[in-house]
Amino acid sequence: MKAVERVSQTKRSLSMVMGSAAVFWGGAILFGALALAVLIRAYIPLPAMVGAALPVIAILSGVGTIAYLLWKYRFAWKFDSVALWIEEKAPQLRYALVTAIDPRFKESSSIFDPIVAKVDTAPFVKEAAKKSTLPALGALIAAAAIFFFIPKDLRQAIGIGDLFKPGEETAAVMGNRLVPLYGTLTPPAYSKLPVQQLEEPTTVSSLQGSNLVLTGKGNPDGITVTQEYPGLSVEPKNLEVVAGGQGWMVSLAMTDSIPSYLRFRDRQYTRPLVIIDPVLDQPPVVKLLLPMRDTTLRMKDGKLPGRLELSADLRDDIGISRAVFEMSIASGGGGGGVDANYEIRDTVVGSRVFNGEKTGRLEHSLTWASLKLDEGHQVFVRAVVYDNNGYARVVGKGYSETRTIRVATSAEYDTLNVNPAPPSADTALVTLRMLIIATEKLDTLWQKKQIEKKPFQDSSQKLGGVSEKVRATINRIIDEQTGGGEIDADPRLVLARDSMWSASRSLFIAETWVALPALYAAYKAIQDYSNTARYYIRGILRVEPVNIDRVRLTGKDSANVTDRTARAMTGVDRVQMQRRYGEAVRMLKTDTAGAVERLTMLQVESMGKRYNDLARSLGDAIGAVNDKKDPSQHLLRARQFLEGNAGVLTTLPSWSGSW
Amino acid sequence: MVDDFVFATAIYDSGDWESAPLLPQNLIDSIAQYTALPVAPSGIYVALGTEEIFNYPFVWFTGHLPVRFTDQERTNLKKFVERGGFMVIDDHNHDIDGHFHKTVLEEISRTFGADALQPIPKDHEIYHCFFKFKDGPPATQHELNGWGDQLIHKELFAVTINGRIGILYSNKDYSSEWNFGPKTKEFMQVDPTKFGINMIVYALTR
Amino acid sequence: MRSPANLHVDFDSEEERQFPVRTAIEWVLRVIGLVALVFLIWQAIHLLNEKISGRAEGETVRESLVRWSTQETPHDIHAVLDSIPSPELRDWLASFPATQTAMSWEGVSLKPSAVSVEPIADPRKAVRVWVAAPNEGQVAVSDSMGLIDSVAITSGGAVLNLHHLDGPVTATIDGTAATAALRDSLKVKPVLILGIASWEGKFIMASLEEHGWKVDARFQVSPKGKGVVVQGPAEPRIDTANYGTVIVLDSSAAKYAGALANFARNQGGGVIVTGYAAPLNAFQGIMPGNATMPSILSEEIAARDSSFARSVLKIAKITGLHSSAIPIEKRKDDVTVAAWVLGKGKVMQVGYLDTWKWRLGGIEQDPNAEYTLWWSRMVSGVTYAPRYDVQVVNEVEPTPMASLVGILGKPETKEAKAAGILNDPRLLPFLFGLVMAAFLLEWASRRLRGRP
Repeated sequence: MKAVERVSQTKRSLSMVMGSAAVFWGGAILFGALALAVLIRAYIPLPAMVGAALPVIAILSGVGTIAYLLWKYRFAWKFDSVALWIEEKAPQLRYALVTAIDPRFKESSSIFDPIVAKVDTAPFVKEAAKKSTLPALGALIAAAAIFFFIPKDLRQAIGIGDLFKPGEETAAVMGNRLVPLYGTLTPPAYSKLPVQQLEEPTTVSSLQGSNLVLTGKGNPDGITVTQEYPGLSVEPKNLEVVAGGQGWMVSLAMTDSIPSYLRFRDRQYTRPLVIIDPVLDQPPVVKLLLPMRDTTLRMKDGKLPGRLELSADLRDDIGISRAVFEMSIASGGGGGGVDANYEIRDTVVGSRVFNGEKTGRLEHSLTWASLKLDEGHQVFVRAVVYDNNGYARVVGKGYSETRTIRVATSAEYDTLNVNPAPPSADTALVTLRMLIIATEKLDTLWQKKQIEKKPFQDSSQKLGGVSEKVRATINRIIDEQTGGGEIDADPRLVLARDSMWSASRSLFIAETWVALPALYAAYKAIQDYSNTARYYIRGILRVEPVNIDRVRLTGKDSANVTDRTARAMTGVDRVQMQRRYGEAVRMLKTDTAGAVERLTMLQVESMGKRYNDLARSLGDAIGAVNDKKDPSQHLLRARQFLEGNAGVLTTLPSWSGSW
Repeated sequence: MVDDFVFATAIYDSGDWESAPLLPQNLIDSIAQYTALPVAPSGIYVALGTEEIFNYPFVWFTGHLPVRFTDQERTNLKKFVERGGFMVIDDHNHDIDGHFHKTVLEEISRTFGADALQPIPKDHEIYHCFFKFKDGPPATQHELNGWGDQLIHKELFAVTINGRIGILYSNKDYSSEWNFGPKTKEFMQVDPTKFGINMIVYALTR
Repeated sequence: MRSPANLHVDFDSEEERQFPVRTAIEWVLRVIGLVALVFLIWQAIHLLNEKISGRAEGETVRESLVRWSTQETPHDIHAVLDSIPSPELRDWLASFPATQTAMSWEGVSLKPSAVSVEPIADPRKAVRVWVAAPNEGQVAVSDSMGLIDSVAITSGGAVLNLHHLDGPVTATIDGTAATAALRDSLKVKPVLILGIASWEGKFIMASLEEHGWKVDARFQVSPKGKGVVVQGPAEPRIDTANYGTVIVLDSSAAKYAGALANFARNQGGGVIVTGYAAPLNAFQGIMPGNATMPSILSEEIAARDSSFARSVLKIAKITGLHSSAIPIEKRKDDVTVAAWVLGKGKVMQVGYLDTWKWRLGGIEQDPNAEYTLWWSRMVSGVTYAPRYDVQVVNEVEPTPMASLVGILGKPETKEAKAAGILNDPRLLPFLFGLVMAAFLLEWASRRLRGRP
């Protein structure tokens, strides 16, 4: 064999060895990267795009490795380099080979060829193969083993479950691309619930605010996914189907508070509906432990001794964010007809932040003195708790019952339940106070000669009109107090009424300085009356009887014939659902898939209407049909919900008309 | 004859439920004056949190102070309304910034849903089922005098069940307007309680 | 030396001496074969002259019918049925006598049953299903939407009031199915309520309307002016052209007493007189009984105060029932609801007072629904509702057992003949096999020991 031929032969062998090594290393990197991608995707929640890119990154890594190694082993494809490599392996050649293949020494080849012929290059190539190819092959086998050791459903999460079954892939693309269907369900971050992988989901039940990604095989062209709301006047939504995941992918943010279903279409193909059942984050529940009950306190030496202990038990289905005690303190009181007589101040105490715990305790203690209470004051206290619901900024709020703590007046003889008195006197007081202020202002203007006589007289007479209304109110109070003249009027009310009469007269003749003392006198008299009559025992109220016979039909006005409009029939929606139920059940004999789809639509509708028993029965019936079991009993329960139970008589009825 | 109509006023755990003590007497007097309906001469106070409430399909509810229902009160109120009872809730403060108004609205939302309370139109049956009120709910002296929130409320609100009023909510403070002894009406040009008769006739016939 | 003949004789004898058992068996086989052959010939000749009887039981009836119609021509057939046959099978059986084959049948396990269905005067199209069946049976009632209910029969039958029926109704007992379909329907007429504005009137009206009844009312509020609340005409014309039922609440309706009597007696209208109206003299002529006032208070009311079910409502007990009056509801021994037929119409007396308390404060899970259904049923029980025909498209069999007897004749029990084994035609192939086997064995045994 000539030297040139020897080098050529070695070059061919060596290039094959090095090429194989490069491919094996590339494969090992590919499988290793894929295994890593699967694990990352399974255990670390990633945005859908990043997740979809992982297999691509793995493939690029493998190809890149091959390219790099082919470049690194490039000497194996160069004639001269291979000759030198042989010279290196066989030093006894003493460059005879290099010289023999040199075109410049072409004529001398007959000298060198015998020298070259003595050296066998095959062991060198075998050695090279052993050193470079075997480790690469080992790495490839190890990486592939790791990859295939990972469960198939995890591999499917990145769309490479059937990597080595291209035939099936093709079939899936050509056939119904809606089956199989996989999903990734990501609950809202605030819930701290884990991501779930779904396989052939039929009902996706998750917290409102969750994110659902559904994926199937094949390209997304021609696949439509609509979200529909049966039984509600909500328009169906078309969801965008994009390339990604295993082939096609659709994302749904579960923002609705009502259930719906997803309808999939791929040319002539469909698949069972997927129910979307948003679980609403329930508002937290709070129970006020302290104070245990409504209380009436009594002041001692003008002070309230002791402390107010507050305690509440908190619970939430997801997590508590914060809690606080809310207090409203009503001072003044008297139950006047206007709020002005009640000074109500709100305050919060004991605010505490929680770290998403599901249960907790809120406690606070404060001295009564810090609330600055006085006789007749009332304190309304309750606990308020906020949950950890960060979704859509709708924070759940729970309230405890309210406890009322009253501070008894010194005149009060019963320390139990007391309550404000009739309001009319206070109503009059407020109006009278306003009248006094207005009269004082007008009088000042007149005394300082800052107003002309005519407008002064007009204003004074207007105030006289108001004064008369107050006098009428006082007359009404007297009427109330005397029970229509049954008993004597309270002298303070009589004084107030008489004073108001004087004040009105003075105002009508524009003598504000004369009216004012009368107004002061009337105010004081009503105030005295109001204060003494303010409290009475709660729970012994009785309405004074009216002498019906005396007043029967003495009213001056009479009425006309009036028409009543009919009430609407109730349960119409159930009647409509019953009709659709009948259609679905009749279809069971001829078109099971169609019947199941209709029953599913009814199930979603019943979930939306909170017909929980019906939804459960329909769900059970659908499950039985899918499992090829008898759904009769479940369907019977659904029917009885929609129609009501049959009335059964085991003997003949005595009256055939009734039922 | 049929059972007497009984004018019932609701007792609730918080607040001043008895703040209009003369109102029942006054309306009972008006029922007798204008109608032939059998009516009990005395009204009754009935606790919302007890089963007793279901004996009285017409209930008056008023007060000034914050209203916080107990769980039982809330449950009973929902049942009461859904089964056909009629409750008038009247803001004795006539003040939409007042605690009664704010807390009652909060409680109604919690019990019946956020959108349950809706304004009722001026041509609603309650304005012409006995006496005719062409302009909707009659204004009260408190409104005309500019007290409270200084507003004349043009409409009443209602929670309706199957097209019928279950809760009639008023900011007009009829609890002040009608809270006087019945005899006073003899001296009045116009009887302000006539709208109360409409409420009762509506409840009894719709 | 022995001659071949001798040899032969010797050989034969020798063989017999060598194989005595085998030779005996060969003889036995020859005998068996000949006897079997003779019997085979005898039986073939005998069966040719024998008259064949056919008998089939249970699920084999259909295949037997096929065989009797195509392969055999039996002299007579007997079917033992374990369920009502389909009309096709039944008619097939009935056709045999025409082909000179006597037919008889029996069905000891068949249960006589019957079902009928009729409309109820109800705006939601309720129906009543009557089922007759033997006691201690379990009847499953179904329609085209599937099972409706299952009823244990204890008194010869049952009545089911159904809110809805879809297609024909089927009552199945032990595999015997009877079917029936509605043949007519009812025109439901409006209800008129007369009385003073009251909770009773309000809630009865509300419930009837919510159930779907069209209701007119005249509620008196005040005698002054025109203090009345009406729905429908201000002065209603009480006749069956306008109303099917009139409900009377109290004394304010006394002025209509004459019109109501005519409405019921001569026109066929229905009248319901409630507790407070019952004691009035004006209505005594049309009432099925007398009302006892003052009302009695149930002991339970005192205990439970304001929690009401129908069983604890106050009642005006109904006494002195007319002989033709029927007590519909009782509380212990007290009649609380009674009715009678008055001329062409029906009058019902309801003894319960303030039934509205049941709706508002009932202790049931949904007292509103219970109250509504009860009042609707009371109205259905008396209302005037003219009938009109509806077309029945489905084939039904309301009395399957009776129809079977009508078509096939009375059943008769026939003991299955203990068919002698010698007469059994199935023996022929067995005998043939026996003949062949016996001769073959004998021949083989003989040949194997060298004999011709």
